[in-house]
Order: sequence, then C-alpha cells, then structure tokens
Amino acid sequence: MIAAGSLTQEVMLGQFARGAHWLQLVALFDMIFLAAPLFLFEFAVEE
Amino acid sequence: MSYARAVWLVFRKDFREEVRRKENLAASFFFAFLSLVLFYFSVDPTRVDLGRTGAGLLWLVILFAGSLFMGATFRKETETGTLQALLLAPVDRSALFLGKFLVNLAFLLILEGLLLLFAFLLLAMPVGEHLAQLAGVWTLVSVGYAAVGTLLSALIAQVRGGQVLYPILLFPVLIRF
Repeated sequence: MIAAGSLTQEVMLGQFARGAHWLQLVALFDMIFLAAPLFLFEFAVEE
Repeated sequence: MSYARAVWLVFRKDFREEVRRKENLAASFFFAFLSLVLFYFSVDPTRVDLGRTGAGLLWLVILFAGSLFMGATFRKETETGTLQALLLAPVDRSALFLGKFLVNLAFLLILEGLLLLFAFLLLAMPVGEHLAQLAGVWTLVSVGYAAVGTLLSALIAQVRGGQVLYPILLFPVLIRF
C-alpha cells in the first residue's frame, strides 16, 4: 500500500515522473503474483 | 475445451453469481462508501490538504473493502462442495485461478471507479485533472492486489477459521505494495 498510495499521490499532484520507481515496484509485484500462481496454483488447491 | 474458454466459463459463472447474490458485493460497496462519508466528517478540510494526504486513505478503504469480497472467492465453493467439481474438470487448474482472478479484478475496478467518484464529490480530491494516468496506475495496482487476494483465498479455502486468517495473511504481503 506504500507504493500504491505514493504513486496515486504523485499522479494527483501531477508529478507522474516522480512516482516512476513506485511504478516499477508495482509492475514487479504484478508479474510475480500473477505469473507464479499460473504455474503453482494446483498446489494451492491440492488436498 | 480450450484454455481461454475455461477461463471465460469460470469468469462468467462467478460474475453472474456475485451479481445475483449481491451478498459480498453489497457489503464491500457500502463499507467503502460509508468509510468515505465518515472520513468526510472526521477531517477538517481547512486544516488538512486532501490532495496530498487522501491517496493513502483511499487505498486503505479499497484494501479493506476488497478483502471483504475477495476472501469469499473460494470459500463459497468449499462450503457448497463445488470446489471438488471444479478441480475434477478436465482443464488446467490455472484456468480456475485466472477466471476467479478476473472476476475479482472486475469488481475491484468497479469499486475503485465508484470510490474515485465519491472522493471527487465528497472530499474534493484532485481526481479529474489526471484521470487517464490515475486509471492506468490504479488498474496496474489492482492487478497485483486481485492476484494476491485470489491466491490467498484459495490457500485458506479448506482451512478451518480461514476467514479469520485471511486478512492476517493478506495485509502484511500488501504493506510494501
């Protein structure tokens, strides 16, 4: 939520470029948590 | 059955079910709306600049409201016994995840759209000036949030007391995010 809040704040203030490093963090987070379950999801629902 | 069709069928089933039942959605949407209204009354706009401080609050509201409906993604399948049927379907199990993730993402985006509207009307946040960039950023953040929420919902679906565990597991993962 630190990245999301900071990024939103920068965008609202019209300083999108200042939030670039937060955007990288969010993109990395997205890739990890979207790609990993696609391969490992069957273990999550295994009894 | 193709992979894309399996994802679409899971998405359509869950989306329809949520829209018809309205149980989790209504609770989340009202919670989010009431939180903003309460915030409106609790902050003195002459002393607090919401343009600078309101973004974090908006995300907190989304976090709590989103966890209300995402926590139930797999729980209701376990309760009704349909999870076993879904697992027996001759499709890749990641299609199940992707379908449910897309439903959660869709509802998150609807919730965020409404919240942005309320934030603009109630709190006079500078939402309209950079709406396109804001929409892009929020969509990107929502993808990660919905992915983690869906995955953890699956992990705790067959655990007794999973409803209590869900926010305890979810929020620490999302702090840095």
